[in-house]
Amino acid sequence: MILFYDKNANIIGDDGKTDGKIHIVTDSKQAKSIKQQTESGNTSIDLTNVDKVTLNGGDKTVSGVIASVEAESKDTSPGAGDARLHEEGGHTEVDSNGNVIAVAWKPGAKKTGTNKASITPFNGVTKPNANELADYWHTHTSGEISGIDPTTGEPTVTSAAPGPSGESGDIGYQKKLENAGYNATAIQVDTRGSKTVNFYTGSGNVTSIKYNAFKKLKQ
Amino acid sequence: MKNVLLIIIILAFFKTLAQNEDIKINATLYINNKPVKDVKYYFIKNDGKAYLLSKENEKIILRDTLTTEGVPLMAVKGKHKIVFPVYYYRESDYIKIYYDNRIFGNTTKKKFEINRLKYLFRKEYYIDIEGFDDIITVFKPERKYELIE
Repeated sequence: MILFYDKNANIIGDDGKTDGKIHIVTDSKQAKSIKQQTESGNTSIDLTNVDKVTLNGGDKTVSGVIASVEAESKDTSPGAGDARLHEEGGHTEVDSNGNVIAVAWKPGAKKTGTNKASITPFNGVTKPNANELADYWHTHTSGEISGIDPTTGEPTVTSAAPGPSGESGDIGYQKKLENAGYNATAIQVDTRGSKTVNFYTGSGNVTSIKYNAFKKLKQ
Repeated sequence: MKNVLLIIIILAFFKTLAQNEDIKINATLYINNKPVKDVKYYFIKNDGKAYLLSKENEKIILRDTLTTEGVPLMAVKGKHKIVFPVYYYRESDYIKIYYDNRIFGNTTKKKFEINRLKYLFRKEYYIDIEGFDDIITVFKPERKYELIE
């Protein structure tokens, strides 16, 4: 039984498969229709042509994202002073036996206010092949930096922009992966303010759900 | 040997030419979430003076002889004088500046996930620079800058 959810993490149906994936139906009308089909006894709903996001790594992706969000709020090492000021990330991959494993990346460097916070994809780990990578994710920072512009002396405050960065950043990287034959789901988490999980494609489409809803997803 | 020297001189010449290409960045000021026209942009030098930048359509033009990490600019539109640093200016296609003073329906604060009560009594602007993943919040300038047209 494979459960799938609406954007509020309510269970709305089952596609009858046992592939370990989690599906989130992103269109509210379609989600409502699926819920009605489920209530009328359909336990093998066809998700073809349904607008959805798929967590190919299932529960392992959910727990991996949660671990990264929690790590972002802490120092990467005692006394590092980079709690809430560095990015975390990771991925899920399918091994040769078909088992899904979550891999945490090496954390990104501390942001200073004049350099952007970032994490190199697959930082410090081996990048899986296209047929092995299930999902990958990274968090943006939750902390702010108050500074003074060295030329003008004017005060500034820098804080993470919501959503995945554009062509020169997150979305551009996902586009490269897609062009290389990868089919993994790309996930970025806004940790500042009300936490949000964003799923994005190389063409720039972004679908978001609340982090509190995301945490409830399970297979 | 002469040929090698000639090649090195030619390469150095083209490198210098390439470095002196202008940096063109699309700059837009949004007031209450609507883009406004006729905004003047200035480059602030260490002498505290602000020098008017030339524009091509809506793109401001910076000479690519800059060596600093950040470039201090000022946007002027009516009573709005916005002083802000620009980082990653060689990688940026756009700068978006936002001002939104609406207490209710402040879509800018909502867009940037900023608590609507934050900076309630300060005049703040949000700077979104492509390539720089952070939003920079700046405030009404504390200094006055001499504008050089």
